[in-house]
Parts: sequence; C-alpha cells; structure tokens
Amino acid sequence: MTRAFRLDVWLPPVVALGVLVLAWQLVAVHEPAHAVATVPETFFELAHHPGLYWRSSVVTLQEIGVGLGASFVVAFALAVAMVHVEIVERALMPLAVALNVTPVIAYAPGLVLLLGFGIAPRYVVTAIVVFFPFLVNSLVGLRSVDASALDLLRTLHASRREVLWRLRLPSSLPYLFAAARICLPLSVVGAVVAEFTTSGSNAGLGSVISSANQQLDVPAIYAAIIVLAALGLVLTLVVVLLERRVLAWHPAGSRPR
Amino acid sequence: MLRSVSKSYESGRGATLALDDVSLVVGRAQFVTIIGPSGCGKSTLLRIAAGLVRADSGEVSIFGEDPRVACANKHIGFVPQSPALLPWRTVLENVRLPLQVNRRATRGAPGDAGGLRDPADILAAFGLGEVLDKRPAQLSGGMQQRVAIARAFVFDPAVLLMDEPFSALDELTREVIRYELLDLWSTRRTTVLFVTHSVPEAVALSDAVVVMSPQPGRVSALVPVEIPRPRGELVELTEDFRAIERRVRLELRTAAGSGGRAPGRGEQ
Ligand SMILES: Nc1ncnc2c1ncn2[C@@H]1O[C@H](COP(=O)(O)OP(=O)(O)OP(=O)(O)O)[C@@H](O)[C@H]1O
Ligand SMILES: [Mg+2]
Repeated sequence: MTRAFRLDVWLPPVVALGVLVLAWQLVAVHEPAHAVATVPETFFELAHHPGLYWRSSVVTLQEIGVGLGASFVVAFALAVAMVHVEIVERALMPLAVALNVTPVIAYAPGLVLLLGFGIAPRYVVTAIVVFFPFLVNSLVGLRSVDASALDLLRTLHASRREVLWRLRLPSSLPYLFAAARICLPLSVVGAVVAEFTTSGSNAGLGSVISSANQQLDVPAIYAAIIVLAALGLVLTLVVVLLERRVLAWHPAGSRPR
Repeated sequence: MLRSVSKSYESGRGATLALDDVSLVVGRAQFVTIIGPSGCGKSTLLRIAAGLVRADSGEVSIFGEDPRVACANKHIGFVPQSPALLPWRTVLENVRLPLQVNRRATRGAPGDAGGLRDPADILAAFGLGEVLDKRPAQLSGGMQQRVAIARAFVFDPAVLLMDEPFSALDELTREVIRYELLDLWSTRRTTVLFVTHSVPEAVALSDAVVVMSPQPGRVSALVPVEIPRPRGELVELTEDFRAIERRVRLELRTAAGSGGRAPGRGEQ
C-alpha cells in the first residue's frame, strides 16, 4: 500500500514520460512540413471532441474484449481437447501454425469482403491474431504439471475431470497470464488493423486514424494514438493486478509489493 | 503381494531389465523396507505395486486386489520422493485433496474407527497444527515432507507406498521425522512398503529389510528386524540394532558385487 505513494516508485516513470513529451514537442515545433502535431494541438483536439474519442474507445475496447474473450475460450477448449486426445493436436496444430504465420494485413481485407463492413470482421481479425499464443500457452500450461502430483492423483484414481480441475487448470494459470500479457497488445494491433480496412461505419480509434489520415488532420491522428496508448496501458494494468491477486501463490505473482 | 514380477524398459539401445522375477510378500500391518543400490529397480517395484506401471509378467496383488482396483477403492497411499504438494493450496487443503477426489471410494464417515480422520487432527499430531493455513512455499523441506505423509495417512489406505520420502532432507531432520513417522504409524498400523538408501533408516523403521541387487533387479536377501516396538531414537544405540545394521550392510555389499550383467541388457 505504502509503495503506491513512494517517490522513488513514481518519479522515474513520470520523469521519463516528461522527457518523451518534451522531445515530441521539440520535434513537432522544428519539423518544417508540419507532419507532427504539437503537444498542445493534440490535447486541444482531445478536449474539443471528447465524445468522439470516448465513443471510438468504447468501440475499439469492445472489439478487443469480444475478440480476446472468444479467442481465449476457443483456444483453451481446444488445448484441453489436445491434451486428452492426441489425434486432435496432430490434426489441428499445423492449421493453427499456418494461421499464425500468415500476416493479419494480408487476410484482413479478405475477411471484410466475406463478413461485410460491420463490426463482425473486426472481432474475427482480433480473435485470430491472439489465437495462437493463447493456444500454445494453454497447451504448455496444461501439460506443465508436476509429475509426482500426477502420480499421486493416479493412485487415488482421480478422474480426468478431477485431474483437469484440481491439477492441470491451476498449473496452467501462470502460463495463461503470460499469454494474456502477450495477447493484449496483439489484440489492440488486430483491432486497429481491422478498423483500417473497414473504416466508415461504427468508427473505432483505428478508423479515426485512417480517416484523419485521408483528411491530413494531423492532430486527430496523434490524439487517437495517445488514446490507444492509454487504453493499452490501462488494460495491461488490469491484467497485472488480476495476476497478482490470482497468482499470489506463484513466484511470478508475488513480486515486491 | 508380488509374485515373480518382471519388468523391462525399452530404450534406444535395447531393453533394460529393471526387475527380474521378483517375489515379495508383505503381511498386513507390516513395515517392510526395500534397500539397494541406485538403479536396482526399487522405484519400479513401487510403481508397479501402485498401479502406475504395468509389470510385463508375474502377479501383483494388494491383499487380493489388482493394483488398479486397489487404487479405484482408494486402498493405496502413495508418497513420492518429492512432496508434490499443490502450491496454490494451503497445507490443510493439500491434506484434504485425497478426500476430495474419487469421493465414491472414500471409506466410512468421519469418526468411524476404520474411516477417515479429521485432516486438521492428523496435521496437529504431526506438529503442523500451527501452519494449517500456510502455503507449501512458506514451509521448510522437512515440514513439506511431513505434510505429504499426513496427506497419505488421511484417507486411511490399506497400504502405504513410500519412495525415498526423506531423501531430500538433511540428516538431522531425517532422524527426527523417522520417529515421528513411526509414532503415527503405530497408531494406525497401516501396511507400509518403504524405499530408502539409508541403512539405519531401514533398520529403525522396519519389521523386515529387503535387499535388492542391480542389473537385473532382484531380491538378494531378506533381513528380519526383531527389535521390539515402540522404538525411539535410543534404539539406534543398542547392540541388536548395530548387529542388524551390520548384516544389512554386508548383504548390500554382496548384492552390489554379485550384480552380473543381465542377459537382456545390450552391451555398448
Ligand atoms: N521410465 C523409464 N524408462 C526407461 N528406463 C527406466 C525407466 N524408469 C526406470 N528405468 C530403468 O530401470 C532401472 C531401474 O530404475 P528404478 O528407478 O526403478 O531404480 P531405483 O532402484 O529406484 O533407483 P534409485 O535408487 O536411483 O531411485 C534403471 O536401470 C533405469 O534406468
Ligand atoms: Mg528410485
């Protein structure tokens, strides 16, 4: 608790942020073509259209939430199936790998053509981008059980379901949180890329950036970037705090408080 | 319990004969220790008795039941070499684990003479009454191992199979836990098959010491330990104890020396 109010905890990142903002302002002022918005311009833009940025954030957040959530549920269920039935893994893993090595940018427009210009393709793109890390981490997590503990449960004739709930699932939690930390920024990339290709209807922050780009509205671009960064930071913070609570028993979850 | 059991492991360079025609009978309420050089198949023997590994040939029975059936009926208590405590559970929750899985087979009701006992009582009897709500990571190695033993006693299995449960502990802790285990055991009189590398440990605990020889794993001698119970730490100073200890050491030496090459074991 006291840690939150300590100067040596808060000061370094605040100073670093200050230096960054200063550098940004210097570049913006000295850059002749006016391709970079100044700090005041950016914040005026935010202050003058709070509604736009709020609504866009909500849309983007919704895409991240739905995409991430659906992807996780499907990936985890698939990982459970793969752990128990080897043939499922052999059949589907190559497909998952193929999906993963294909760049989002390449198939996002195709998905838009297929699913229309609404919000559906954005969910799908976001979900696909984070699917593989979720799948692999779930798989590794579910398998990373203590061999002796597994032996013990076997001698008790624990059912597969009991082994899953009482041993595999808790053992996999550190891996799932590690996956969440990787997938969160990835999902923001997915959502923004999807919006780039579907701009127009139901604008998210990515749509704001792409239409501002067309109108050469430089401050709007920078404002949207700032909001995206803030969004990503807040989401990451939520995951970290959740991890500390849930993984209090785990070395990674109980770092200095 | 085991009659002419053989087991070999296939590996890249041919098969390793881990157990060759091993027979072993353990009477009810007996404490029998297996001792032998590393790699002589002690763990394999225990895992076969626990139903974790199938023997290639021979018969295994846990008081008339196939090991897998015995597991299904929760008649087997297994204490692995590492404590294997679940780090997200508290000490008390860890000890409750055997009661929570495979509930159908949990015998009796709390308070029944032969049935399960309150996990907190067992832990208290084992000197762990103060740490019920701690997590395993907060305990010393000795305490963790005590929790693992308490976990095996909690559902009152017919047979306890213990694979070098004290091998990770320092000598002093080992000696203390040894007699704590004997105390707990004397109140239950569970049948125990115990694997160890320590001769004094084997003699202090057991009714009989089984000496095994390596490559292939065979039973090379059975040394009865006729020292009256209850035994305390002082027992190790008696002449009887010393004599039996000397005999086990001698048998171990001959066992290690006679370990010929197994016919099935390919030379490189
Ligand atoms: N899963 C396995 N796969 C292949 N070989 C194995 C396996 N488990 C054991 N062995 C082999 O079987 C033999 C007996 O092993 P086992 O673990 O039973 O010995 P041990 O007496 O318990 O040894 P230690 O005292 O070191 O624990 C060894 O030669 C070992 O290499
Ligand atoms: Mg062993």
